[in-house]
Amino acid sequence: MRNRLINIVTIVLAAATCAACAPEIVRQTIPYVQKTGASEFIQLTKSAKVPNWSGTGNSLFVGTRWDFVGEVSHGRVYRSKDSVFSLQGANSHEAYLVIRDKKLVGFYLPGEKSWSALEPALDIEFTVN
Amino acid sequence: MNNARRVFFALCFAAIAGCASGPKFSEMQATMPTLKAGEGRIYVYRDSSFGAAIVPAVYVNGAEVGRSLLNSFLYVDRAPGEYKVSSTTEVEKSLSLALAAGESKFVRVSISMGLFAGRPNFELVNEAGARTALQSLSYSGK
Repeated sequence: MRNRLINIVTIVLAAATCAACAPEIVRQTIPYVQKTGASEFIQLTKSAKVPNWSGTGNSLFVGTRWDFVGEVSHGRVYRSKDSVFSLQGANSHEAYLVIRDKKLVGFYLPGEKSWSALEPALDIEFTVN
Repeated sequence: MNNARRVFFALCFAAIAGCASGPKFSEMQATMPTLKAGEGRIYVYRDSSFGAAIVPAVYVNGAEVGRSLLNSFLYVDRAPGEYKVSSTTEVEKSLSLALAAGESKFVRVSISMGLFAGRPNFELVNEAGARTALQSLSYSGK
């Protein structure tokens, strides 16, 4: 009985420890050019599920709107127009989408001026407004 | 008094000690200073009851701005730029965000299970959801 209790406690502690140990998001500093001129946004015409570093996943819902706010060398950068978007790994990071040729290729993390690649890139469908 | 009771009362005391007692957001909202031109505001709030006895200090770019008590909120006004909101218990956890002039950002703190102590988690929340949650929370800023 005592051994069984010890086993259960060990498993619970191990599970809690693992759950709290999501990997750190891989990122690197990148030059960012802020967009100037007329406003432009995209609206998703199909939902997409972004694999997340914590294993929970992030949903990009159909109908959500994203402002074109700038560019990095990997593509155009879009910030959520209606809400907020962040990535969750060992820590949390506000994130903008980076899209190139109708593919979500990664994220720009404005709080760290960093880039984080999404591999493989994800097909993404939207209209431009 | 047996040991189970002692533990129960100790937990109750710790939970009460971890509760905020400042004015509620709904009461002080009207008298909160308006944002100065060229600044943004970061709200940090905690509305979940798990880990009530754990009251980590909250740091913004390394400077302590208050404690994350149960059912509490705090806010800081800062110049536009990049910010890291963080807390440390047995590990440091953080949220990075960008703040623009005239903008408000809302950060929710929760405590999850750790190995020896609860661990803080940060979540960026949209304004509508955050303002609803904030109404019943008490101020715990410096």
